Amino acid sequence: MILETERFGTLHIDEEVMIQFPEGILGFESLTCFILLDRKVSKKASGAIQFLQAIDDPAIAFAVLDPHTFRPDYVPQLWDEDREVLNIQQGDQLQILTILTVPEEVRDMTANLMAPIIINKTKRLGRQVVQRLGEYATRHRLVDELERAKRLVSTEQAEVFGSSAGTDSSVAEQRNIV
Amino acid sequence: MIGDDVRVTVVDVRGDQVKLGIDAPRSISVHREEIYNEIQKENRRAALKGELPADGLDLLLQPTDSKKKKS
Repeated sequence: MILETERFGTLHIDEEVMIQFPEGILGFESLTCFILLDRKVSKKASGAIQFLQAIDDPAIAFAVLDPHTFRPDYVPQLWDEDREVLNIQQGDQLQILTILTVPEEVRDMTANLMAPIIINKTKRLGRQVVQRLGEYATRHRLVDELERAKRLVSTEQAEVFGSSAGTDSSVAEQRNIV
Repeated sequence: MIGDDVRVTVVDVRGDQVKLGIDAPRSISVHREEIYNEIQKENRRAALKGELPADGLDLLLQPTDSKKKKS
């Protein structure tokens, strides 16, 4: 099908890549069909950020990002209801994305870790999943998270390499350094 | 304690009668409603408005080059 969007131009969409969100997402419950777009917005962009584009309303799209790029220790919990709506069965491939809020000052952009988007790639189903109160927030500033991630990784490395005088290389290899 | 949020205390004892007090936070459904409202609001803020920013959104995610100065 062809979708005309102001933001991304004319999109030629293969029905097979459409993702059904049976309940839409919170605040946009009527939008039950999305596609995931790869779009480099400038020559310098890494392309890590994708766009969740609504089919039912071409004006609506969200910038989304795999949270592990800035929060390597992020583990979202799925309720039973989530597993049902997403029809998760053994062997299904899942994808986790977070919705980004981009203010005027792009450096202040935040990610919603309290309500990630979970996509069952195998079944082409998606849902916004809500985490427990207190664990995560709706706005995690990316710049701060990236700093935290750097500290996390260097702490792990210090533990492996820094503690003993004679480093046992076989021990170092067995440890998992992300 | 019964459950994470509910506390039962003995308020009064008279003979063989024990008066119990139950402290419980607002119901779970109210908590959920608040969380859902906040997420709704944030989703609406996040919905892209107009054109994308001129600078690449993911410049923050460029692999760090040790030769480059931090901006």
